[in-house]
Amino acid sequence: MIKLKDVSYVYMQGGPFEKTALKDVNIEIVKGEFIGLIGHTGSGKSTLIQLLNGLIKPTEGSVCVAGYDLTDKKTKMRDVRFDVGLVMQYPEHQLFEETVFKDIAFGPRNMGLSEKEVDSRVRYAANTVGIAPELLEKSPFDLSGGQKRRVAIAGVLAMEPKVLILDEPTAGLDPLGRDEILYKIKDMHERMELTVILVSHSMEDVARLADRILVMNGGRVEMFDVPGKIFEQGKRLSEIGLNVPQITQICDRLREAGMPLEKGIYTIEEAKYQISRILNGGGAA
Amino acid sequence: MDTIIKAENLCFEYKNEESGEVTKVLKNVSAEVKRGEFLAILGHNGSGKSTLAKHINAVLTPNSGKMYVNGLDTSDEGKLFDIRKTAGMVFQNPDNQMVANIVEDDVAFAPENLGVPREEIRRRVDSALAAVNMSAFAKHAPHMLSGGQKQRVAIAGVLAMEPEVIILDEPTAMLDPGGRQEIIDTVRHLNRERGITVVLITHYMDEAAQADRIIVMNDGEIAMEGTPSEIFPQVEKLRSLGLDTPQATELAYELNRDGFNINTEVLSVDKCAEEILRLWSVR
Amino acid sequence: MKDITLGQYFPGETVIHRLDPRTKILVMLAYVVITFCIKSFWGYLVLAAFIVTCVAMSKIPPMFVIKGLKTIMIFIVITGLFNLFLTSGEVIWQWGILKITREGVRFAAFMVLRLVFLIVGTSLLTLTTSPIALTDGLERLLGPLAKIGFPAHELAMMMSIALRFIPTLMEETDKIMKAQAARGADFESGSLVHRAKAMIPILVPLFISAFRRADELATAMECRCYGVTSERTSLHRLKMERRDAFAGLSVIVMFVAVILINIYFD
Repeated sequence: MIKLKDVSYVYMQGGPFEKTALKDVNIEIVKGEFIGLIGHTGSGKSTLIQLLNGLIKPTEGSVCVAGYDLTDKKTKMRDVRFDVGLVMQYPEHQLFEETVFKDIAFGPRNMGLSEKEVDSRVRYAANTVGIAPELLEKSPFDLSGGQKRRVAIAGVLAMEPKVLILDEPTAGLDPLGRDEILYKIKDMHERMELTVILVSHSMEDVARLADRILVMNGGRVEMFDVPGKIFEQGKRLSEIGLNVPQITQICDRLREAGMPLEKGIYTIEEAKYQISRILNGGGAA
Repeated sequence: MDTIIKAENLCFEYKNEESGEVTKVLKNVSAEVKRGEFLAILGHNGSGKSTLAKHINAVLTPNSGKMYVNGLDTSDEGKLFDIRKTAGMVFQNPDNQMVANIVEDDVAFAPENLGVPREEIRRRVDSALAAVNMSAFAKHAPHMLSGGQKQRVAIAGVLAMEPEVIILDEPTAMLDPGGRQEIIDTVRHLNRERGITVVLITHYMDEAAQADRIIVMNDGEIAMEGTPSEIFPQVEKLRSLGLDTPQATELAYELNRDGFNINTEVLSVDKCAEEILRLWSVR
Repeated sequence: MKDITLGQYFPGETVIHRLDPRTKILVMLAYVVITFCIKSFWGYLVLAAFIVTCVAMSKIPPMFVIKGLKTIMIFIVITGLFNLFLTSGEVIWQWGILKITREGVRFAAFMVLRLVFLIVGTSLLTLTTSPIALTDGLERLLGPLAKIGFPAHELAMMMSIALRFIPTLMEETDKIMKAQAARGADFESGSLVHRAKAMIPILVPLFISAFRRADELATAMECRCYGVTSERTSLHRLKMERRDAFAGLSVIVMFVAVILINIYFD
C-alpha cells in the first residue's frame, strides 16, 4: 500500500537555513496495517506524513502510496489526497462551514460526487465518528471541543480514503475524550479495512493499537517492528528522548532484579499475568 | 502553614444569550490551599476545574460565595491588581500569552505595567529567566522557541510580578513529552526551592502524582480530595469520573484485586517495582 | 510563508541596532522624504551608498534584506508596468495600443527605485529595531500629542502586538492551507471568482483563530496587570548618545548632497 525508497527531504534547499528533515528512509506498509508513528518534535515525522499525502515532494527517492507514484510528474496530487486522508494536528481549527453537514461535505464535494452520494457519505462518516444526525444542521462552532475534533475527522473520512493518517488526534483532550477517539479510530480501521498511520507522543496509546510501530529519530527510521520488539529496547528509546510506558519500565526493573519476566511487556494485562504466575510459584511463562 | 487561597461556597453560572439556558459550572465549592502547597486539580473537560482556577486570580468572580486570596476578596474590584499580583496565571497556549517579540521584553511586561523602576525590572527579569532556566534565550524571538521553552517564558513572565501563587491552567496540554517534563520540573523547582504556592490544572495523571494534594472536580463539585497516594488507588472511582490512573498504580491495584498482599499506594515505577520485589522475596 | 522578512526583527548588537529608536524613526522619515525628492539617478547612487553602508554596519545578511522585497515584487512590477505604458510623451516603441515613451521609461524606473529603496529602508528599520523599542520610540515621539487626547500608547501597543503575531499567523495560514488541500481544496486553477471563493476555507478559520487568540491574549495581558497604572515604566532606557547625533548628521549630509545633485545634474 505504501512504499518509500531511499527518500530524503531537505527544507529550503540551497538557502542559509537548509535543513535535512528526512534521510534515506525506506518503508513498506501493507494494506490494512495499523502503524503507530513515534518520534520527538523535529524527528521528521511531520515531514514524513506530508510526503505520503503529496503536500510536499521528496528531494530524493521515490514515494508510492495507494497505487500512485508521487514522484511521477503526471500524478495528479488532488487524486492522491482523496485516497490518502490526512487529519492534521488540532484539525478542529480547519472547520469553516455554516453547518456540520456542509463542513464534512467539503471533501466529497471537491471530489465532484453527486449530491446523493455526498449525502450518504456525510451521514456514514458522521455516524462512524459518533456525531448524532441532529448535530449535522448545527454550526460546528457551537459544538464542544471533542465533538469539533470528531467532525473534522469525519470530514476526511467522508472522502473514503484507502489510507488514513492522523497527526496526534488526541492532543489536548482529557482521558475520556482520548479513549473515545482512539476507540473510534480502531473501529474505523476494522470496519473500513483502512490502512492507518497514527502519529502520537503517547507510547501507551500506540502500544495498545498498532500492529507495528515506526520510530523516527533525527530524520531516519530508528526502529520499525511489532510493539513487543520495540519495547524490548527501552534503553535506546529513552536515549532518543522517548518515554517508555511505565509498565515496560516496571517490568524491566523487575527483570534486572532477577524476576524471570519476558522482554518487551507493554500492557497491564500481560504484566499482571506474568507477575502473578511467578508470585504464585510458577516459572517463566 | 497558613491558608493562602480560600473558596467558600463558590457558585458560578452563565446564561446562554440565545436560549436563555442557565449552566451551573460551579456548585457550592469550598476549598483551601495552604501557603507553599503544590495542589493539582483534575477533572474531565467541562468538570469546572478551569473555571475554579480562573476564580483564584479574579478573571472570573463568583455569582455567590466568596474567594479569598491572601485574605483579599476577589469580588472587591479595588483589590483586583493586588490579587493578580499575588496570584499569577499561566495559560494553555503559550503563543497566546506573549506580548513582545523578544523574550526579555515579554518577561518585563508585567513589571512595566506595575510601574516598577527600571533597575528593579532588570533584576526581576534576570532572576525570573534564571528561575526557569531560560537566561540564555533572553534576546531570542518567541516564535523561534520550542513549545516547552515558550511556556517557560510565560512562567517567567508571571514570576516577574513576584507572586506568591502561580496557577497553571493545563500548561502542558499542547506540549510534547519533552516539553511537558521541562514544565513539570520548572514548577516543582519553583515550589520546592522558592516556596511558591502552585495550583496545577492538568489532564495528566503522572503530573498530578507529583503534587502534595489533589482535588478532583466533577460536574461543578469537588468529587475527591486527598494526597496522590490516597486518590490514585481508587481506580474504579477515577474511571467513573472519566479519568485514569498512572500505570504503576493500576498494576498494583490489579495485583491486589487478585489477592496479592501488595500496597496499592504506589505512584511511581520505582515504588511499584519495589513492592512487587518485596512480595517476590517473601514468597 | 516563513520566508517573509518584512516586519521581522533580526537581533544583534551593532551600532545600528543600538541607535535610539527615536533616532531611527526620524532618520527613516528623512530617508523617505529624500527618496521622493531625488530627481536624478546620481541621487539614488548616494542613497544606495547610504543604505548599503547601513546594511553592512548592521551585519544583517544582505539576502535577508532582499528577501523582504520578494513578497511585494508583484506590486513593484505592476507599478512599474503602469508607469511604463501609461505615461504620455515622446513615443519610442509602439505595438498596437501599447506604447512606451521616453518619459514612461524614466518614470517607471524612478517608481521602481523608490519602492525598492523604501522597502529596503523600512525592512532595515524593523530588522534592527525590536518592535518593543520601535513602539517605545514611537510612543515617546508621539507622547506630546497624548496631552490633546491622541492615544499614543494604545497605538504603539497595537502595533507591537500586530508585529508579534505576524509569524504566528503566517504559520497558521500555512497549516490551514495544507489541511484544506488535504481535503481536495484547489487554490491554483480556475477563474478569478473561483479562486476567490477557494480562499473562504482558509480565511474563515484564520479569522476565527485570530479572534480566539486576541481574546486569550487580552485575558493574559490583564492577568499581568496591564492597565493598572498609567505610569508605565520601561525596561529599556531611551537615551540619545553620540552615535545618534552622528546618525542625524549623516542624514543631513545626505540630504544636502541630494539637493545639490538635483540642482546640478537636472
